Amino acid sequence: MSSSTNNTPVPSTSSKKSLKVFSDDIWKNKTAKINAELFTLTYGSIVSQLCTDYERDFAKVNNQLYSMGYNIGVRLIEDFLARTALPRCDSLARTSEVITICAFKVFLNVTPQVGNWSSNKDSFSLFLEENPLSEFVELPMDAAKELWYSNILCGVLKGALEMVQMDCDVWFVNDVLKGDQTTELRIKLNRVLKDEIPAGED
Amino acid sequence: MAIQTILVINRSGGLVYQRDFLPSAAKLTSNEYLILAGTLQGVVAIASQIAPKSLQISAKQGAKTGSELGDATQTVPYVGSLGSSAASAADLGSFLGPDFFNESFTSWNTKGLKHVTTDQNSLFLYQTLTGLKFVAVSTQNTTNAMAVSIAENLLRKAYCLYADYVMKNPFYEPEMPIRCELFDKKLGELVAQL
Amino acid sequence: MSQKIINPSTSVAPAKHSDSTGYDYTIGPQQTLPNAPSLSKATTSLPSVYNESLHASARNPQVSLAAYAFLFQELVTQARNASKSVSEIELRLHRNGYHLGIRLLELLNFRSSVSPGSKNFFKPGNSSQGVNVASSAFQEDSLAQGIANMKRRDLRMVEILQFIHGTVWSYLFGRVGDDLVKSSERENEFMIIDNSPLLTRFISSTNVQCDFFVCGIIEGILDSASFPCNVTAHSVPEQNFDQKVVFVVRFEPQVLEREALRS
Repeated sequence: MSSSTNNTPVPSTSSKKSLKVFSDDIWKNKTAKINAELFTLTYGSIVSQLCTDYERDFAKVNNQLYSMGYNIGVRLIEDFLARTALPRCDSLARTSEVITICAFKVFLNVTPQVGNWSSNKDSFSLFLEENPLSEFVELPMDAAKELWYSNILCGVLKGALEMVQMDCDVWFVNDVLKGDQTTELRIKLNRVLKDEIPAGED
Repeated sequence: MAIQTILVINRSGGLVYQRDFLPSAAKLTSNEYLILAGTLQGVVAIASQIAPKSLQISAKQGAKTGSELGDATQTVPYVGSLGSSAASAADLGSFLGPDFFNESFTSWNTKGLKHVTTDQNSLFLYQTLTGLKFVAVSTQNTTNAMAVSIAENLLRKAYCLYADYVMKNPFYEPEMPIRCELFDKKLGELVAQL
Repeated sequence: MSQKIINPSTSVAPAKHSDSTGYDYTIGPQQTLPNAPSLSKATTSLPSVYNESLHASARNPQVSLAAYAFLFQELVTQARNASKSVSEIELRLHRNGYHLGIRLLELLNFRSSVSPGSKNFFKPGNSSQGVNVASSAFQEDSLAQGIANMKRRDLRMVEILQFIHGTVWSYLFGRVGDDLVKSSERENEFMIIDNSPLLTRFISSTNVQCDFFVCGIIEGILDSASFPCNVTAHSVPEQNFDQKVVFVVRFEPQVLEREALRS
């Protein structure tokens, strides 16, 4: 039985930089990849199918995308934790870093910016400069009013955060597809579900 | 170290996966396994409550001062790919080779149960942040740190397989017993490498 | 702007897209003359959507296989929830794939005809907002050239299948298909073989064949290339490839007739 130890430290502290190095390494060297256009096109076929199924009732499409995202989130978190083995975040600021610098990087190879913290530090925004879901997408006029094209992302974040015992609200504020200047997604922490934190942690 | 059994216990203490790897070893009935799973769930919770206060405080201080390398008891060293290189070149699913991961990692389960030893067997437990528990039973009694590290590495790899072949399978319903042929197969390969 | 378009059929205010020269289904195709001011304006304000998609090979964007696998499993789950039978699930997956297929033929054909030397022309390069009018006009030029030099359409069954087995497979899955075989029993039947299908590699086999999604892609491409056909997927586990899948393409009789006329 061969064994070797490698004492590369896992970024267990608030060091943002080491988190970035750690995440970039996972993306580059430890993650199997696939053509992003296939991802974009597949998501496009899902959204357009929903628009047809719901007879262009975009409020229903938004809800459906959200619930699909939720189902993905509760599964995806296990992949994220198995892949990174990151410990629990000690603050919401840390959570925002892990989401943007690590999770978005490792899954979608983009890094949104964090901003617009509320005064009591319980909510923040993610600004997506690049969005692999909506690459090459233009919304038809009727959809541009109501449809949050990438709403699945909100569901994913909601589901994933809930699995690590954070009850959050997640929603889109702006989307460039609707003619806004930025694509902005808001995350608000309602409470930490302390009773559900598995025994054994501090 | 031969692995006799691997179990997966869901967030609410229900047994969702159980597999014996040694045909010769004594077997429990499925009911006994269910009881074992529930008992472990309870013991983990109690163990974390009876952890000596001094330990709790030192662990907390370690976390607060935030030493990069962490406490020796908190960081699990990486144990290199087990077995022959030919076997490790095998398909790792959504992970790129040569192994699922190649760095030491933090074990944040600082107060809960990690392993139990009898004269005949050892039991190792790896708990995820979501509350899943991966349990391995080996046919040796051991308390040495190396064996514990090996077991934790093995169980984190089992977690990686779970992420690929259980979570990415649309026919698996969350929290339900795992019946995924590919997971069985890959887990078998992983254990066989030991 | 000189031509103000009156929009008769919809009550939706034509908001910010009014400057776009792209296709708008509520209006229909709009005519624009080359070098008309509206064109240069459109290309500068929307540099990416129409141009960059043609040259993406230069930047080769990727996402993680895990992210795709989660999206795909949810696609299958949705199809399951909405269906009453196995064949209905497969039909839905097929339909989703078809949606992709019909978009791929011309794009991949175009990309594969751009010779490596001319790729520099197409490089999005400074694709950020600051594309000036001159360089975008230059891009338009080389784009026209690219179209003029495009590989000719595949007219024979074997050619178009090689295109799928080679170009399309590389694009979708990062490698060519494992084999392309003609049926010895039926004239109109071909088989594309994939020893380890990428999209379904995490899905333990069940009675539902999730590779019908890929069938839809193939059929969409063949349909848009005027090779009407029917594509099905079959698991054929082997010793070393226990997830091996055979995609069976059955062309409609008129395709054979046409082929006979050409020979």
